[in-house]
Amino acid sequence: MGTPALATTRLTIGALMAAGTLATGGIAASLAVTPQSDAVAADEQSQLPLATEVPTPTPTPSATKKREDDDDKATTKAKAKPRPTTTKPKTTVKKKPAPKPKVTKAPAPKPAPKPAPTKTKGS
Amino acid sequence: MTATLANPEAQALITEADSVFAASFRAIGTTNEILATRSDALAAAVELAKDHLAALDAACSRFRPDSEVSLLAARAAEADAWTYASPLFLDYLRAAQHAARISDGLVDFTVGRALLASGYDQDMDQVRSRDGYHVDGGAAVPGWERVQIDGLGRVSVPKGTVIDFGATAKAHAADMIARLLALQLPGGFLVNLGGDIATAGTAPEDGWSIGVEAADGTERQAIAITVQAVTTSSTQLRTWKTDVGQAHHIIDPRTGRTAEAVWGQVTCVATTALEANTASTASLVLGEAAPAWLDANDVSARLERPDGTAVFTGGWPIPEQPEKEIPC
Repeated sequence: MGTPALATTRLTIGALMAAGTLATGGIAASLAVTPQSDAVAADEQSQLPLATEVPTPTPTPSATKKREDDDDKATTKAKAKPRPTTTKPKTTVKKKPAPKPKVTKAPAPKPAPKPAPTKTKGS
Repeated sequence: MTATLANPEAQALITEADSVFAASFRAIGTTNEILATRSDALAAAVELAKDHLAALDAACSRFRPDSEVSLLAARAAEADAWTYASPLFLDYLRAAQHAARISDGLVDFTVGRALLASGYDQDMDQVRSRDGYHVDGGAAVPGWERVQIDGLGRVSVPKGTVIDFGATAKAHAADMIARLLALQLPGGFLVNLGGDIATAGTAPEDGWSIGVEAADGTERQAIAITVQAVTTSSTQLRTWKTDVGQAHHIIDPRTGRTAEAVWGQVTCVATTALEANTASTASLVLGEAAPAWLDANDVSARLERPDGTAVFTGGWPIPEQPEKEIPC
């Protein structure tokens, strides 16, 4: 009579967990910090930026209230409605290219008798 | 009837032709004229025009070392540069950008260095007084699209840029002054700044009559306009001698050199003097291709070759007599 499938799975997981624990232990052992000399430690300390003491922020009453409200909401959160399966057709608006600017059309001049009181001339 | 202005500082001459009153004065290196339908508006109109032109000269003259144009050119001599700009400078820069846009870059305000290289580096009288200026090749034109205005009113230019508003400033000033006069004074006005003409307000019954003057001073033709603007660009007037021949002030931005003088002068009619002068300057740059470009842009124009023969586009009225003139 063979081993049931569920029992086989449990055995396999158990074996993997044991192996993982051993491996983690091995890695931890290899990463074990060796004590450094006092001179090196002092040198590294001098290169670090000075720590600035930052006061711990304290929550304001309103912030606290907000968090509580959020917690309340979390408990009564309604299930999100399933997304509709049909998608709306997308309407893409094609932008017309801006017309090339041209000289504005003006009425043609009319003939006039000479001499005229003012002249246009080259500059 | 002729009368001098009451204000002696104005130094302007008032003349009356039928129902139109005229005053002339010197500013920005040229003779300017204002025509008004009401004599009582003329003196104030001249003062307003002078004030605007003085401010324009201070901001945009290439020949003033303290102008915004010169200061920006000095900054850009060695590296890319930027500057805060006055509202007036920004307005004229935007006008120049519009001209570049509608002319496909044929009227490019970054031709300043090429203009200097061609010999136009001082006031025209001084340039003309030199004999055989040595032209050391053309100069690269940075390109108008590389000049940027940001949201804070700052202007940035690439290294080596010399802005030249020569093709647009006078015409745009005519537009601005004409509108200002119509806004502030009664009647109608024609503003003629050295041949660049804009109109605003109520026109005379038969329109504003304007002569088209050639380089030799003869009046080739007279036309009438009501709400339009008229300008003429020439390759025959602002000229000087160089060691490679006669030069003029129209630079082809595609080559950085003086444009070939296919046309002696081109006169265009448009809704604004800025657009009219853009069309007339672009025509000089385009040469033989100009009539087709003007027709494609619906511009009424009269193009005259150096030998005096003329070509017309866009419904320009064809004169009856001259056998030299050829309709396009």
